[in-house]
Amino acid sequence: MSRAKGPLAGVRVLDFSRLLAGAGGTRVLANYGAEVIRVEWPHYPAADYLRFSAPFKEGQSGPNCSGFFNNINPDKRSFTLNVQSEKGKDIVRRLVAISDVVTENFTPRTMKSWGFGYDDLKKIKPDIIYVAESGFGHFGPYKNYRCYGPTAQAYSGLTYSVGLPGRPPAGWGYSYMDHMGGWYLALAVLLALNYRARTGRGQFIELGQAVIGCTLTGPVILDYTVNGRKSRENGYPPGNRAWHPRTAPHNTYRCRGTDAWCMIVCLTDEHWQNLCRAMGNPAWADDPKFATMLGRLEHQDELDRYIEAWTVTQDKHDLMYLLQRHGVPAAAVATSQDRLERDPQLQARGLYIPLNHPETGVQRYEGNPTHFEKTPGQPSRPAPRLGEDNAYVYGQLLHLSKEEIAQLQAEGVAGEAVEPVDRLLLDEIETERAEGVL
Amino acid sequence: MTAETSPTCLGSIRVLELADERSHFAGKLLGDMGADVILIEPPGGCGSRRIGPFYQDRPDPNRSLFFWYYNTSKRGITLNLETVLGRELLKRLVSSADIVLESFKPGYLDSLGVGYATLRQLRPDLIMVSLTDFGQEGPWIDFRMTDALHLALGGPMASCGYDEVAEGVWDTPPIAGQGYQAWHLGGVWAFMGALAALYHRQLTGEGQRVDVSIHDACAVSTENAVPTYDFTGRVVRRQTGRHASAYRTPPWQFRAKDGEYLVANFINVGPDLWSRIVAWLDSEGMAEDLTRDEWYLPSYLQEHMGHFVEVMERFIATKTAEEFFHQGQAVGVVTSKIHAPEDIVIDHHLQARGFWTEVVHPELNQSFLYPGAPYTLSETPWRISRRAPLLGEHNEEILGEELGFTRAELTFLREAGVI
Repeated sequence: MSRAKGPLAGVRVLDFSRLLAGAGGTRVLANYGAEVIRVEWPHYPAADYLRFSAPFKEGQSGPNCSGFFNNINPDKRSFTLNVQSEKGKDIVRRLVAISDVVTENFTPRTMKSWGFGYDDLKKIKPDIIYVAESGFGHFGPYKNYRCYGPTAQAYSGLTYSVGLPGRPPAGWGYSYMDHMGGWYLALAVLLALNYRARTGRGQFIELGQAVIGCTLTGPVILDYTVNGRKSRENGYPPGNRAWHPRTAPHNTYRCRGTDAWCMIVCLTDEHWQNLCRAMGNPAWADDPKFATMLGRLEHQDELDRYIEAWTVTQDKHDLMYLLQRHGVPAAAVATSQDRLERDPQLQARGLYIPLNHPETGVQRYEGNPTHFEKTPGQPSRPAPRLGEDNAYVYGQLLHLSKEEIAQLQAEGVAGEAVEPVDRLLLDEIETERAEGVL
Repeated sequence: MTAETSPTCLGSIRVLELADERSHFAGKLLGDMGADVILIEPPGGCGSRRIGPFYQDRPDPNRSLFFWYYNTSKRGITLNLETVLGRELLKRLVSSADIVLESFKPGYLDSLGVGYATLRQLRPDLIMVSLTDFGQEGPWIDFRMTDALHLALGGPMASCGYDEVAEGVWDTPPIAGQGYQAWHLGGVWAFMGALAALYHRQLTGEGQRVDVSIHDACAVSTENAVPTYDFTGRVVRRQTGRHASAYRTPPWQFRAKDGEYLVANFINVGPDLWSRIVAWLDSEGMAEDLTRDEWYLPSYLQEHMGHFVEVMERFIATKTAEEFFHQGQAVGVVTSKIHAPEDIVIDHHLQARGFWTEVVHPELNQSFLYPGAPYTLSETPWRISRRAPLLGEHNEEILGEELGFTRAELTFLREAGVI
C-alpha cells in the first residue's frame, strides 16, 4: 500500500484486551498506525464476547459478523492461541520479545496467574510498556470486584448525574465508561510511548474504569470538598436544565412527529431576545417577568410551557436551523439514524467510513475525531476475522513452518486457519521461506 | 521515589493553551502528566472563570470551582491577542513552545495573523491542536454550542432517559448527562491527538496540525447505536437506567431498602455464578422458585429474565444499596450502588488507593481535596503540580523573567491593555 504512515507506525502492540473497554482503546492505536495483534482464544465460547454481540445482519451469525465487534476492531490483526497451554505460553513470550506494548483488561489476577505479569514480561523485554485496565484498578480493596460500563458509571456518580428531579436516575443509555476506559487505555499507551522515546524506558500502567469515572464529575465534587454542599440535597441533577452556569430557558422541547425533540439554550439576554424574534415576538414574551435572566430562571416552568407550545408544531431540524440563523444556541436531539442520514457536518468530515468485510459486506465504521495534517489516523481495513492472521503471526513473525503450525493446531494450541485468505498467505510464506526471504 | 522527585512523563514539553472551557480538560491532562502548560487568557480572564459554583459562593474570577478543577498544573498569563503587541508576545512564546492547544472559532487566529501558517514559521516543528465544536470546516461550524447541546446533536442524549409509557410514546424527553461530558470527550481526543503527534515528532522531527471536533467525539461515543442502525435499520430507544436498545429489555436498576438505587447486570451468568446467586438468596429464604434445576440453563434464564428480575427486586428491597453492592460482589454479581458524585469521597476503595489529592491554595491559606489520578504509572506518576492560576498570576514570571521585559515595560503593557 502506498498510503502514508500513521503517527504510531512501527509500534507493535500485543493486545489481550477485549470488549469495548479494552478493544476500543487499542482500536485508536491501530487506526493511528500501530500494528495491533489481538490474542484470541481458538474456541468460540471463550473468545471475545463482543464477537457474539448484536447487531447482526439478517441471516448472519458467528464470530465474524457482529457489527458491534467489527466497528470496534478495524485495522487490527487477530490470531488464535490457547495461552493456558505450555506451548501457548512460550509463543506469548516469543511475541512479547518482539513487541513494544502489551495491553490487557482482565481482572488483576488473570495475567499474573498465566505468568504474564509486568515483572515476568519485563525480563523478556526490559523496555516493554504494559498497560493493564480493569474495573476498579489493580490495587485497593475492590480490585477484584467485577465491573462493566454501567457498574463503573454507577460507582463513580455518573449514572446519578443523568435524570429528572424527583425520579430515579436515568443513567447513561450505553457504556460511556467503556468508551472512556478504552480511550484512557490508549492515552496511557501514548504517554508511555512518548516517555520511552525520550528515555528508552518502559513502564507499567494500571487503570480502573470506575476510578477514571471519578475524575469526570470534578466541579460537583469540589462543591462538596470545598463548600461542603452535597449535590443530592440540592436538586442535582436538574434534568435538561442548567447546573452551572445557571441560565434559562435551557431545556429540551417536544417537536412535531414521534419522539422528536430540540434543545434550546439561552446563555445571555441577547440569546433570549433572538429567540423572541425567531418566535415572531409573541405577546407572552413581553411579560416583564421574562425580561431578565433572574426572572426567566424564577419562572422557567411557565416559560418552558410557552416555548414548547411553539416548538411542538415544528420539525426538530428545521427548528434548529431557524434558531441558529437567529443567533440562538439550539440543537436537534439526534438519533443514530439522524447522524447517518441528516448530519451534513459529519458527512463533510467523513466521519463514517465504509469498509468492505469479507463476511458482512460493507459497514460504515465510525472514524476518529482527530484529523492529522500529515499522518493518517482513520480506519482503513475492516475488523479481522477470528484467527485471520494466524499465518502472519505464526509464519511471518515467529517463522514457524506449515508443519509446525499444523502440529500446534492439532494439539489445540493454535486455532484453525481461516479460509481462504490464510491458506494463500501460508503458501506465500512458504514460497518466501523457500526463496530465503524469511 | 516520591511523586515530587520522579521524572515526569512529558518532561520538558511546553504547551500554550489559548483557552476556553473547551480546551481546559485537555490542558489539565497534559499538565498533570508534567507538561509545562501556560494558559493564555484575555486580560479580563477566560469566560470559564465565571462558571460556578464558587468558593464560599462568592463569585470572583479566582474562585470558580469549575476553573479550579480544569486548570490544575498550569501557569497563567494574560494576553490581549487583539493588539499588535499581544500578538508579538504570543509569537515570542510560540518559538519556545512544542504544542499550541487552541479552541477558538475556526479562522479567528488566522484573521489576527497568528494562525497555524504563521506560527509554524516561528517554530517549524510546532504541533497545533485545534479543539473546536465541529472541526475547522463544514456547514455547521458557525453554530453556537454548549456542552448539553453537543450531547443532543452528537447522539449521546437520544440514548439517555426513561422508559416509554406506551409503545412509541414517552412522557419525558431524552436527558442530557450533567458534568460537561462533551468537553471531556473532546478533551480526551485532543489529548490523544497531541500525544500521537508528539510521538511522531520525536521520531521524525516533523510537527503538524491536529484538527479535533467535539461533535465527532460525541458521535463516536454511543456504543452500538450506529452499527445497529447500519446493520438492521433499527433505532435504539432509551430506557430507564439501562442501555438504549432496539428491543425492550428487563431492568438492571433496582431500588434498595434505604431508597437508594443500584445497578446489577445479569448477563453471561454461567452455572457457577448462578449456583452462588441462588445459594445466597436461599440462605436468606428469598430464592422462591429459582432453586429449580432448569434455571441453571443460561438460555432458560435469558428467556425468563423478567421473572428472575422480579425475584431480585424483592430480595434487593431487603438490603441497603451499600449492603447489596458488597455482598453481591462477594458472590460475583456485577453490581454497584449508584452513588451521588460526592458519596465516593468517603468510599474505602478510593481512600485506600490514595485517590484524593490535597491541593494547596496558598492565597487562601487552605488546601482542598481534589479528584486524583485516572491512571497509575510506575515510572512517571500523575501529579497536580499546582492549583489553577490566579488571573495573570505568572505574567511577571513568564513575560518578565523569561522574555526579559522589565517591570516598567510590564506596567506599560498592562496600561496599554495588552496583558
